[in-house]
Amino acid sequence: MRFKKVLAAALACAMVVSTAVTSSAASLYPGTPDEDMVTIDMRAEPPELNSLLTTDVASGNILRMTMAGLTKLDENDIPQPDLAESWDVSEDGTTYTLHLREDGKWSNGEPVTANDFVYAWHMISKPETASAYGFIVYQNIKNGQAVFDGTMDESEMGVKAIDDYTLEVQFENPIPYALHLFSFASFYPLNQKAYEEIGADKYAKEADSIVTNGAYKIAEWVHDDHVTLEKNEEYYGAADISIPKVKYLMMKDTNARMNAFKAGQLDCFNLSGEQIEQFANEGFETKAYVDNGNWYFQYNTKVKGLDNAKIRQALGMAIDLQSLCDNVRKDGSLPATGIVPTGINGAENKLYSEARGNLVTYDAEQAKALFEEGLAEAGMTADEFKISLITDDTTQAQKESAFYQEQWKQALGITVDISPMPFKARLQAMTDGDFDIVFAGWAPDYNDAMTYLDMFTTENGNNYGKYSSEEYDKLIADAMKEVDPVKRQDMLIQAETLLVSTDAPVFPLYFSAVSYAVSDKLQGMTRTGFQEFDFQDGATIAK
Amino acid sequence: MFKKKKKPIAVQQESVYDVSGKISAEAFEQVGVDTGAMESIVRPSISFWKDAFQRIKKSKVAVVCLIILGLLILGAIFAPMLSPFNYSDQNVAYSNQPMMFQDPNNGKTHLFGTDALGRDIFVRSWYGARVSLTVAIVVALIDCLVGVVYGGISGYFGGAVDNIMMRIVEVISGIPYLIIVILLMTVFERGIGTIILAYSLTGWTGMARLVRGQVLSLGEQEFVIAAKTMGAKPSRIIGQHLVPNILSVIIVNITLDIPNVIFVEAFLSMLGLGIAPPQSSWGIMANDGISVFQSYPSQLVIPALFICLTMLSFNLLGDQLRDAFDPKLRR
Amino acid sequence: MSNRVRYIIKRIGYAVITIFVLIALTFTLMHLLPGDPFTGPKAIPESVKEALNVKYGLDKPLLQQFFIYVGNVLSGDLGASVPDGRLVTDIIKQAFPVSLELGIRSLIFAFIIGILLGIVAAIKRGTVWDSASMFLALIGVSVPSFIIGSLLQYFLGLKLYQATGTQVFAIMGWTTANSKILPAFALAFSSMATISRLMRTSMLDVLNQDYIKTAKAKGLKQRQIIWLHAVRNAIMPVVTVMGPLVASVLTGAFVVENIFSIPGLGKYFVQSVQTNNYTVISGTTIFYGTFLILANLVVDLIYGFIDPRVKLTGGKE
Repeated sequence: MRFKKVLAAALACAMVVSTAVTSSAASLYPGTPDEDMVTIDMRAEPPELNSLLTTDVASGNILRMTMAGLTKLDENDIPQPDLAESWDVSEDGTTYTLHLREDGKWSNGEPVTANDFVYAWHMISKPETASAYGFIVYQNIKNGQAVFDGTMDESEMGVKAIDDYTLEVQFENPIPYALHLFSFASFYPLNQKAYEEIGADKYAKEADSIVTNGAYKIAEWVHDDHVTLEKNEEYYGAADISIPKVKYLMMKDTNARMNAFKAGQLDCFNLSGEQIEQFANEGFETKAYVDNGNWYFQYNTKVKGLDNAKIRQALGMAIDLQSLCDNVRKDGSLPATGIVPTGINGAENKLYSEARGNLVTYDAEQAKALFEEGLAEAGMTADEFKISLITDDTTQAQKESAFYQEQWKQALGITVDISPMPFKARLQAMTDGDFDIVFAGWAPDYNDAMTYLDMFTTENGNNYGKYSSEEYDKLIADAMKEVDPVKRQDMLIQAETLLVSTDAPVFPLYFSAVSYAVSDKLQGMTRTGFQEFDFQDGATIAK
Repeated sequence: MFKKKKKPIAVQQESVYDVSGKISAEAFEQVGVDTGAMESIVRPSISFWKDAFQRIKKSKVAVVCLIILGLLILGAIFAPMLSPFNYSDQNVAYSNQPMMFQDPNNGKTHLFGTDALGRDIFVRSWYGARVSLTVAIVVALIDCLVGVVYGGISGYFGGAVDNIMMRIVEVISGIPYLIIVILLMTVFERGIGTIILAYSLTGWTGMARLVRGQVLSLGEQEFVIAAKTMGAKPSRIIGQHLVPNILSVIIVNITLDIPNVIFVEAFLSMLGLGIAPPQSSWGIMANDGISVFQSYPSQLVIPALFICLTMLSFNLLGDQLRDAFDPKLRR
Repeated sequence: MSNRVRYIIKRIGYAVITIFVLIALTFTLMHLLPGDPFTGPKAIPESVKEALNVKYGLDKPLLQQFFIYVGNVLSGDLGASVPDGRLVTDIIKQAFPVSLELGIRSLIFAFIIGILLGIVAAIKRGTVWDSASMFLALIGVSVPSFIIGSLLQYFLGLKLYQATGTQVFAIMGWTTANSKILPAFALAFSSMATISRLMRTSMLDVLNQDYIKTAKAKGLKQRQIIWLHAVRNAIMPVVTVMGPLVASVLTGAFVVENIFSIPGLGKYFVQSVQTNNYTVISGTTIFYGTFLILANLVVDLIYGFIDPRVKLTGGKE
């Protein structure tokens, strides 16, 4: 039987190949056949759905749909009331009094109260919870660090339940992006009863070992295969949610995604550069958004040659970023204009990047001149300047690295070795300071320039290049305490100019973009730099 | 099949008849019994190697394979030297061009087109041939050397030595090589050397087993026992008697090992663990090609054809060699 | 005690030693991997890292960790995946049956096609048939599985669907019957080539044996000779490569599982090495290793039972 099938298939296949199929552009891809469910590709398994411990984008996607926090982001990444109906902010910008709605409900039937937030924030600030992202809570909340260090009791932490539905939060510094922070997974509430019944070790490991309070419930979770979410009818805003079921697949192969989409097994997936071209040739319109990811070179300022600012500037100036984005990446990524991407909010309801302008130039000739000067200052010859570039071992990263290598060769006449490494090995090399130049990326934690800039202060754990500038450290420290948003932004721009143009311990390459294809069936889905997938802002299934 | 026409025995044509028509007694000669002639081998003696060689020559498949492999090796050596392009030269403005694309700036033709970075695929294919073939051949030789020595010792001494040595082999082949390879790739610098080292560390076990098996069965044979009785040293017995007798198995196994290594190289490239950019190998090109084959099929077809052709040639040659060396299949 | 029982006990003893050494080696190797399971894109405070190490028992000296681990393994506990905390035994329980089914399906494909090709090649030795069937077998092994898999998926999954309007073969997943054919087929190719070539050699060997000549002399039909005498005996050596074949199918499964989005164990193994997930690395390695060693053992024993010429005495009379 099977043989006949295979044979028949092979014959049919031969026919297909010989008679090329041509199809019209209109309604090319109607999407999956299910009437009440959309299927999208999320690429990876959500490894941690315990909101205390989670760090990654995939888990964030599921938690955003299944958990309600104090605020939630709308389709433009602006925080909107969620469980907190309203709030009052103190004069100095450090104390928030939040008034919670009374119809929030956990999936185990309990009401969501202010105490659930207090419990969660206390738990995440305990060292034994070992939360990799906990610092975003306890370093911002008043006395949080002392509680974490064990020098203060958790009752002294700046989060208090005034009554069941009033929460008072005190921050260490005035934080302009506080409402945005409240929508972040680390600030979600936690149902104490469920957490203690299930046990910290088992909590959120399977679909039935997590208690949620959001618009969707986890109906099915087959690890490393798919997660299916089902609309939660008890959610206070259920009337506004129109898609009954969402299935997230975890596909690993680029071609497979394309094939599945074209065969109507998938409603949305991310595209590679070549696939964008292919769809463009078919006349099928694809979509894209800037995901606020920033990719850059980090120079090890302790390496001879790279300790010279002119050499570092020259290495950056030698690379044609426009050509990189147009000819190599081809996915809508933008040439970097600084370390902070274009999608980040700034003061006075404008984008930060508008105030900053462009800090990055491409000039191969000037690069060469700077390079010569720098070498002379460092007392080296071009032959002695032997460095290598560490990069990820993905096909895309290796391709880009080959491009940088060739650009350096053409502009500066030097050969930089490329050493591709698995992700963990690259990070270990960075941590150990065992690198010359590393090709690294950064994804924002919150919608503010600070998330990109505070990592280059002398003491910061992410400052792998060991860049150290008193001026820079002071600008960042002052900005953290500054209440006036415009003054604060000016300080940040000064710091960024120092970082990108003057001292150049990093060189920003591009702001990454995500291009994706959506079937005609799925309408109104939100995809932004802070919400990879969201179906709560009016997404519908087209009839 | 190899019979040669025997020369007819010369008959004396002089007249042996007298007038009366009788044959005189003088015409007869006492020949006697020539014991030497009785023992002589009239058919030319065909040595093992000669026989095998003749059989290979007769096999069209084997000859074609040898020619293809020869061309591949020559191409790998000379094509990159003769091409006007360098394997790492990029021209991103003309990326992903089709076959026979002519560069409008300098009029040079890219025979196989260009890849995603505008590099010439023709020269990269041949440069890749250098890398892939070097890795494959060196690994196969190392595997063979280690395997023969190890398997030979194990099989020859037998008993406890054999037991321990074979247990070690079992453990080594029990470790998925991926762990070792990934480990070495992360610890050492990417390059041909690391791939060779990584694969040889686990690859020799198959050969060791094979050689041991052969040695075990040969060890029981009379000529080895005779040599032992005459006081030959183990090294001499292994070197002089056993190795030549199992050479055919070894050669066949080498030709079959080479395609395996090419495969592993491709697999590693797929995991991103191949050779470092900007160098090329068939595995890397195939992996790059697979991600664009719906738009630019030639970028997959070309390296796939190279891999396929090489593997086919080595495999078919291996089969033919096996037939040629197998005394049981002599006709 | 009979020879056979003694032999089996001896083999099992060796297998246990082998598995122990395997555990020790894997343990050493994976701790040499650069980085640790908690390395992430953002720096983690030292104190959190310490807490994580305590939580997963990585704070103790390596040697102590090793003995604790061996003890746990003996009691059937392979530990929890770091850092997400799923039990490794749960992962194996969920993912291995899928890989196993994929493997068995592909081996069945490989055996049927491989043996047929081998027989044809041997009977028609030296003819076009021989070359053609060997070529057919080799073409499979000559193209890396990630290429074969992608091509099958594109042409038989997508293009066939676009041409006919029905999904003859599913593009991905492992739930419906039509999703299980292409992956098994893609995975079968390399084993198929091995089997067909082995079968060819073995058939040639058998066809030269005296009992075949006797059968010929007795006037048996060609078909009877081949199917009743030759094939039955020639299949014997093919059984011996079962062990190594199972191994190659299991490792090859990684590629195929990725392409067809199958929730099998193969990709866990590769992923875990890339993410320094110690417990999953060692858990899957030990599991695979044990599985392979047992598979080899079983194959050897089966071989001993079916072939009367093989004596299960470990080579000594």
